[in-house]
Formats: sequence, structure tokens, C-alpha cells
Amino acid sequence: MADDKRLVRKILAGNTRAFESLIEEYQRLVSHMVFRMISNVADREEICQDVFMKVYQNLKGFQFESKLSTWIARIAYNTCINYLEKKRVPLFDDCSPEEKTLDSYPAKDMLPDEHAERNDVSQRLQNEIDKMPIHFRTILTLYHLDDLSYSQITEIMQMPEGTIKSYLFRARKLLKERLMAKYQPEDLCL
Amino acid sequence: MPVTHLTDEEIQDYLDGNLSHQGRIFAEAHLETCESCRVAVKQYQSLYVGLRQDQGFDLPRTFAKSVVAKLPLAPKTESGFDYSDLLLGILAILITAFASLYYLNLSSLGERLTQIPLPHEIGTWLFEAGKNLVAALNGNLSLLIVGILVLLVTGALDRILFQPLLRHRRHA
Repeated sequence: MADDKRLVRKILAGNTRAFESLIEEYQRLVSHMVFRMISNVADREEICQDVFMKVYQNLKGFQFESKLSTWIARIAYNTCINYLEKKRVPLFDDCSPEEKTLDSYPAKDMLPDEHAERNDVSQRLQNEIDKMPIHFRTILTLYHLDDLSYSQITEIMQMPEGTIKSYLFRARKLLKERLMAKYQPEDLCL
Repeated sequence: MPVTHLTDEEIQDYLDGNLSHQGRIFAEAHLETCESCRVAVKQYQSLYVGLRQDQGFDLPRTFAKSVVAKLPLAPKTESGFDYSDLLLGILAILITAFASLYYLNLSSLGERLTQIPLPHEIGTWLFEAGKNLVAALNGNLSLLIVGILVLLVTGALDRILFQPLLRHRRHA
């Protein structure tokens, strides 16, 4: 936190090298979120740039009421949601596994190559994740890949903690069921 | 007696470390004896490992620099006070003082200045001091005028030419 404060102070004093350091530190988190939420490969880098431009523009108002990483992730989440709304991608198609299968959620913006069957085991999993509703994908990424806590995810996505837990549980159950329906357990030694 | 298997939720909580102490003991005891729950735990474990694998896209190495290049000019942090101005000012005062000491006969002026006037004599005192200063110039009034003109021209050049150049170099 102290390091973040020093970094922010330098950026606000006009030190662009400090801002470069901030980008280098948080670009992994931002790229994870953008990768999971945005299927259109061509737009991903530009969205990441947008996120950091917004971080720069709004840094003056950041009061350290939350972690800097949580604040940046929230900007990334909102930027992706705005992009998806503009593209009219449904956000709240919160599926119930009993009513709908994951095949009902094709990634609309996928490139043709990405539809090809993926042979690599871990890519099979990624393929299944890509077909999940956006909120499920985002929560899975923030929890498992970026090691964020429930409370941090709650802050980023502005949803009650109970909803986050429920989505995470359902997403993992759904993924397991989908993978088990397609592959033998021994094929899935990730 | 029917066997109660671990639910998916319990298995996930077990792997997340979110079970209570009692719950954990119960789950571990059950897993010792239940093959089907052990398989389910293994499947979830595999899933967890897969979820931790970073399949994200790589941003180019120059990503940070490309964002910085797009930023509007950094906000000005200078307070408006320039130390070079202060140094130039002190230098100008010193040069003027030494030039004055060299050219002017200040003894009579000094004498007048050391006499502290009474409040009702201030007007007369100022008049006398001015008269003494003109006398001290020994006919070198043009020197004083030229000095003032040089200072004015230097100030104008500083405002019009040097300060904009300095600002431009700072932002470049």
C-alpha cells in the first residue's frame, strides 16, 4: 500500500516513468480480465489501453479506500462491460445448468480458427470457459488466476458476496459436468 | 443405512479451505472410505489446476510505452516560482549596487540618509534626499536612464523569448 501511494504521488507529480511502472505492474491483471470478457481478439489490446488511460485520468480521485489493484480491476471490468453493451452482447444471461446447456453460449465474436477443435487438454478447458456467461468467466479468472478474495471481487463487480460465491460454485460445477460429459476423467489430467 | 456423499458445494468448499474444522474432519473421514467422492474431488482438483493456467493473451513488450505516448501532456507541477528568476534578480541588484558605488559620490547622500527625520519633516527629508541623489550622479543622469532601459529590455526578452523556450524544452 505504501509503495502504491508513493507510485501514485509520483504519477500525479507528472512522472510518466512512474506511470509506465504502474502499467507494467498491473497489465497482467487487466489483460486476464479483458481476455476473459472480450472474445474479439482484434479489440483486446485497444481495450487494455483504454483501461490504463482511464486509470491515468481518474487517478487524482483515487483515495486509497481500496487496494490499487482492486480499483484498476474495477475500471477494467466497467470498460469491458461498456464495450459489451455497445456491441449488444447479453450480460445477464445467467444460465441455470438444468435449463440450458453451455452450448447455448457460443462466443459470438470468435475467430473461425478458434472454433476448431482444440487438442491440448488445457485448451479444452479454455474452450469450455469461453462458452460460459461473462460473469462466470470473470469470477473464475479473478478468483483462480489473480487470487483475489471474495470481498475484492465483490468490490470489482459490484455484486453481493453471496452472488459471487454462488456464481463461482455454479461455474465450477458446470465446467466439471461439461468436461466430464465430453471427456474421460483420465483425459483431463490437467 | 444410506451413504451420504459429499455435495459438489462441500467438495468445492473443502478444496477452497472454506469448511469449518468439524466439516473438514467429517469430509476427510468420508473420503477415506468413499471411492466415488474421492474421484469427484480429483476431478475438481484437476479443474482447479487448469483454472490456474494462464491462457491470457500477451500484450506487446512496448505496451506501457505506447500507452504513455498517448497521454495528454503531463500536468504542470511547477508552482509558478522559478529559482532562475530569483538568481537573475539577485545578480542584477548586485551589479547595479556595485556600479552605483563606482560612479556615484554617495557621501552626502549617506549623510542625509543617516539623519532620522521627525514625522512632520518626512516630506522635506525626501525632497533633500532626492536632491542629494541627483547631485551625487555628477551629471551622469544618462547612465541611470540607460541602466533602467537595459533592465526593461532584459525583462521583456525574458517574458517573450526565454521563458517560452524553457517551457518548450521541459515538455519535450
